[in-house]
Amino acid sequence: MNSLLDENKSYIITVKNLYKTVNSIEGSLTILSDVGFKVKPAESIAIIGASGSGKSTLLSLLAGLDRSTSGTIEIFGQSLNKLNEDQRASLRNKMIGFVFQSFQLLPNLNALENVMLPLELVGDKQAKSLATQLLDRVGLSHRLKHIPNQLSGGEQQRVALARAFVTHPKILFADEPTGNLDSNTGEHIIDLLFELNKENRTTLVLVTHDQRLANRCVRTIKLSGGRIV
Amino acid sequence: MNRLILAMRFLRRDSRSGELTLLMLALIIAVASSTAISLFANRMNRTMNFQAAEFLAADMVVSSPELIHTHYLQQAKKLNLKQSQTSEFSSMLIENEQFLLAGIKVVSDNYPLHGTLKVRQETYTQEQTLKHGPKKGEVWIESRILSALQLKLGDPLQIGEIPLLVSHIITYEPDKRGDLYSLSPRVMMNAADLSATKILQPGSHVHHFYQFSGAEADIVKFKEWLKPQLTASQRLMDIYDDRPKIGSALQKAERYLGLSSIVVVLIAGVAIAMATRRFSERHFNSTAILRCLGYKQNEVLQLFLWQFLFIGLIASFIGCILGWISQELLFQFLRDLLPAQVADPSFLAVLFGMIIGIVVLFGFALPPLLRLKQVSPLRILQRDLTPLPSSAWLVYGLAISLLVLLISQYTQDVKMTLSILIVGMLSLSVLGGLSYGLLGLTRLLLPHVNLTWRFGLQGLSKHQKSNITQILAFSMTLLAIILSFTVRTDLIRDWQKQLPINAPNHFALNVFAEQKDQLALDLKEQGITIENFYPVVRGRLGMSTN
Repeated sequence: MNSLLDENKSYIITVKNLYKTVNSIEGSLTILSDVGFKVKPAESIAIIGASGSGKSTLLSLLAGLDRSTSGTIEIFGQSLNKLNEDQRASLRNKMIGFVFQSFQLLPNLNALENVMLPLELVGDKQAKSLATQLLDRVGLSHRLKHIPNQLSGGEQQRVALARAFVTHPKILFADEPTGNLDSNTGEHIIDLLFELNKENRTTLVLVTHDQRLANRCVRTIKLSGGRIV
Repeated sequence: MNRLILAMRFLRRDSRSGELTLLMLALIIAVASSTAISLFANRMNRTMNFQAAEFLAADMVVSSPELIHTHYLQQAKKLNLKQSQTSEFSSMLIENEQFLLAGIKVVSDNYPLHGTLKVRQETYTQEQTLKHGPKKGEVWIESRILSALQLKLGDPLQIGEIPLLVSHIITYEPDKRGDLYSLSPRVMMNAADLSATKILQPGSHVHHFYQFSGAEADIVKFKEWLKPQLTASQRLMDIYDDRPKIGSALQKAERYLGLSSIVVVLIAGVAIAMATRRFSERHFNSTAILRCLGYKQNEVLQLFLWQFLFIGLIASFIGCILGWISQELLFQFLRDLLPAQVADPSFLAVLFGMIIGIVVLFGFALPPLLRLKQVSPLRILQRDLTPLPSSAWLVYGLAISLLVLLISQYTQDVKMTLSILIVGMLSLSVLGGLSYGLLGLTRLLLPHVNLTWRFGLQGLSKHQKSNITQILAFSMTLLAIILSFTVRTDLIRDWQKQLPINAPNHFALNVFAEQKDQLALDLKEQGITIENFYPVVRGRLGMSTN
């Protein structure tokens, strides 16, 4: 029994018998069915699959953005199902970083302010210097005062990477991080993502269509019709 | 504290994008108009109270044909009211073998409690304004007494049994009444000399006036205490109930301006509601990002509420300044029609503008803002996840409560408030029904119109609820503007009817029949036309007891 507990503790994410169904006009629709896997700290895994296979839904459940219909997700041994909306928000704030396909930067904020944002939300007095350092690290020290629509796609994604890593998250969830970039820029972003991941010893869970990106991960989980295959 | 700083930063960042300009402008206009009107009304009211106080030379006066009980005065003292007394009676003056019936006014040292006396020391010198009456041993007299009794300043004037020194010519006393004593030429003397004159004997016909002034609450308290104790011959006057009746026209104007201000507030409210709705919808994504980054629902709401509070404070402050400037300009513009000395505006009237700003902002902006609390972090992955619109009860309930509050504040009249509301609600229902019917009709037209029209009409039908809301908002606003314009025209017409063109506003009294033609001629030379001469005869009315 003890060895089982110890084993669970050695995983940062544990998913068991996960189901997600939604109600639609045509009746109940199962998006995820009996999904289960475990992720070790600092491990990088890629969730791949065709469109509609349930990748993004799985990511949203893992990140606590949505609730599963049944099954359990444990992050750091805490069951997400038992946490309310605010407790999940708190967990995201302390432990989780995000990178999205469409960058999701605040349009009215410049690069520096976007990176400062997660730190400002918790009242970190070092927000400006930490954000400046991270932007320097991603090669955007000359673009601090530019707002998103003055930046190229690659630059915006670098800002998003800086924003994700500025809080030193334990887990980084990335949804198609290269999906909106050309192949060259995508390549650079992938390099940067893995470099930062290595430096920060962050667990990386990414959803992608990009085989090059999936190949860089330690492990790949393939979804088809809502099931792991 | 952190949230406050964060809200200020967000506000600064949002203001860079110009998103808040419309909101700020709408609020500034609403506050400026309400402040200007409330300041104008407040100053006019205070001016009228001030003038009424001068008219009475106090805040409250008790007149009595006999001396009043001393415990009345003790009670006034207990309430910290300032006091002064005057007594008026007629007396025949005899000097240099000339006789003159004069109106004697005996004043205490504190007289007047409000207003000033104006005197001259030489016949044609500059007037002097004084806050006290004659000293012991002196009298102040009207200039016509000098000529009638062949006196000059510095001469003694025999009052009863003692001579008093004529020290000043009195040209103005604040509380001069239009009664018999006041029509006779005035002699004013100090109360300390009265007993020595031995002029008042038992049975003398004299009127005593007891003046009081102090805080409004104390005056009201004293009045309530005193009223039941007064005898039939004693009378009480105060500046709140007995001020001149010129107030009614002004009160109507004040109400009209107040209601017009509600129209402005309503238009601004619609603009605020629409601007906030747009602000809120444009912030769904940002809010989803904040939620994704770990910001809690209540924290999100507080962040936006703080931002709006800052907007409210800044816009209200600017609105108050503009309102202040507007009412100053209004007073300048109406300078010739208003009393020379207008009261200063009170701080409360400015505060009213600030409160209106915050209340209007939150009354119209709260429902769209509350939607931001409902934004799910999942929206970051599913863009179609839009929070539900706020309940119609909340949206209309808040706006209607706010209007009730404003209308009742401006009209101070429950009946009028209810009438406006009921008519407004009925109009809204009729308009709503009409809009619904018209939008329904457009669907029937779809197969018969060309592509451009079809796109347009489909757009209208698609967002039926929000379109009806917008139609109602604009219709009500237009209706309110038309109503305000109609009322304005009626009000002016009524005033004009009350006072015909070229109505006389100056009157000459005591003109003898033989002087009529000469006076008319003299005035004609000055370009003044006399409308009519009316004979005036003083008479005594008696009733037969057969």
